[in-house]
Amino acid sequence: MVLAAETPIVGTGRDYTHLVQDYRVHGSLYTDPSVFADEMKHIFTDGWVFVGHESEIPNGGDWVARRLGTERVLMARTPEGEISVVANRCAHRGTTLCPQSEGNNRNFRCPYHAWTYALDGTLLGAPFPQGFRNGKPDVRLDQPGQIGIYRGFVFANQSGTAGPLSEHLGPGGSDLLDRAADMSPTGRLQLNGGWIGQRVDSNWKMWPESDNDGYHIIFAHESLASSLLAGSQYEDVILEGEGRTKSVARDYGGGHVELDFRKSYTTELAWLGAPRGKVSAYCDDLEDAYGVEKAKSIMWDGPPHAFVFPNLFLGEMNIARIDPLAPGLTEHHHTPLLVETSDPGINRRVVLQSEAAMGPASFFLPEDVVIAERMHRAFDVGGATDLHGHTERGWVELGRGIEREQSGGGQRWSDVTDETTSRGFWHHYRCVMSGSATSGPAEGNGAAPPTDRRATVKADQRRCRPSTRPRGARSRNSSTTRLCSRMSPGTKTGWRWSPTTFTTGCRSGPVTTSRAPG
Amino acid sequence: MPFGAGDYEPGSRVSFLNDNRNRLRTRIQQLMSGRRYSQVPKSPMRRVISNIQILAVHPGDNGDGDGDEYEVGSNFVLYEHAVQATNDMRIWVGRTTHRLRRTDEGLRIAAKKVELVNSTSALPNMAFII
Repeated sequence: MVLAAETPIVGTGRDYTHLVQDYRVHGSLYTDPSVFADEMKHIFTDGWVFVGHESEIPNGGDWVARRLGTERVLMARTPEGEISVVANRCAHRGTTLCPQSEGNNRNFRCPYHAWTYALDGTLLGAPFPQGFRNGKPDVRLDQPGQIGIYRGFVFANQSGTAGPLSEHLGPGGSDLLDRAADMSPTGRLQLNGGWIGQRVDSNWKMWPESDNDGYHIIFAHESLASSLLAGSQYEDVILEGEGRTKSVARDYGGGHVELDFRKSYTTELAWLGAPRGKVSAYCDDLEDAYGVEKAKSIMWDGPPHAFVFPNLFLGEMNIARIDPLAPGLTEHHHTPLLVETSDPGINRRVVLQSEAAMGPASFFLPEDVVIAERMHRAFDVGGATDLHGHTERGWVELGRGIEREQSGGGQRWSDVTDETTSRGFWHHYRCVMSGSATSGPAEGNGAAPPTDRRATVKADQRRCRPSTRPRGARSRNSSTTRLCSRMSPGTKTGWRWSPTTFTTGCRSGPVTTSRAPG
Repeated sequence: MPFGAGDYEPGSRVSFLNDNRNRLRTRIQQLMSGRRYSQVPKSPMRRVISNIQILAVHPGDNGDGDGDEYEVGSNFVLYEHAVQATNDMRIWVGRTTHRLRRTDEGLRIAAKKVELVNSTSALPNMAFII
């Protein structure tokens, strides 16, 4: 069968306004392969998706391999310093060009017939030119309709129809990225500390939920209550329990959500688990760069714990990306949030915190992984169709705190243990997946902020905002480029023990006594 | 446990784990709490260790000429039945380098490095002590 160019190959007719309600979502949304196909279309093709950070590819020829949804892409720096995102797939027969995760090349050369591409995806040449009209095939590597960069974070929109990145981020998402980037005294993060990947046998949507769930920490991570958590910053910001902290769960609209710990910190640098004396050069750099007042707020507030729709987790001292590979298979990759500073020690602390918090052998993430995998299996009963056809059962309850949620100024917020963050993700999901509207501000409906603190509990009370942009309208390619400066590389001695550390029997890294889990 | 071949200074980039004594203690406490859910129930597992080589002998300063510390390499294959959620049989393969120190109580591990052959991939949970 030949599909016409415009024949939709997805579009299942699922009623997402029924499957996603304000206080509950249906379990088939995690397991149904046709739902996954709809997501690849509506979220990962038609919308903006996080790809990487420009500091990962500082030099011309640098590239990293990524996913845009399920599609393999390469994010590269051209010799002219521009950022490009191209399909990791030869335009001839489709061979994967780069099987590695990163590298530096003058061009991309396919091993099959040696078709060779510039880093921006332009075809430079193919062997034996007489066989081609005009001596060269008239193709290039596929590329997203548009890419956009904000504070070094590179996003791509495959369809080119999603409108400007600024509209996707909104004031909430932009502010979250600003707060992450401002942790660096130069305003430029250096996400060059490598990525560690965690394989999860669950649907990807467990991660926007779990990474931003303030309710589970004291329970799912109880095994750390007597060790890492005790005396850490989490004791003040979340472990006191319901209504006992000043932390809040925030929904900024657009699917961007945060566990906002800022008001709970009782000392500066609590998020780092180190006093100022340990990182004094970093603090001085912040003051020199931003002035005393802003530097003080950065030192107190720390980096955000937040999610930028649909696949970027700002996990305090980590940046993580969520790759959905199949309905029941996800990869959760993280890299430490490294900063440009004259301080010799802070980035090393950040790496240690990162190793404690995330990854397959860390102290935190394995619990979230096994819970996600158990959730997935619990809904994967006899095929998703069974659940889908019987929606009187198999629901996920997300109503905690809906009655005491407050809203105003384009946000909703509630106690940090409330499921406001999950509801924020799912509300936007419903708007996107129902296919004809974008999500409005979190306070909803464009109405004036309610003065009554209590929202009315009613299914589907939050509506989507009609899109002002006709679907299918193609916006111009908003590719922006900027060469970023780079810290001088440190001396690399490798994972080998020097004679000194050998005789003392310690690892060669610094020994930390910090109990903060990162 | 480094990323890849570990050709970088530990702490200069992120590793799978890079425990010091405190972190190792925390890891054991966490497992012993009974609430380390990624190891509840515990994974049944078997290790096969082979190709054991003494890579270097470092004489001590007591003048008896014996080695006091040894660098020892070995290969391993570890089969793990991940019974917590997926019921997968997971196969972990790699090379371990030990620093062994002779003490009054016998040989003790002073340091240990584990290089997995597939550490550049996204890996499933490894919540036990490798």
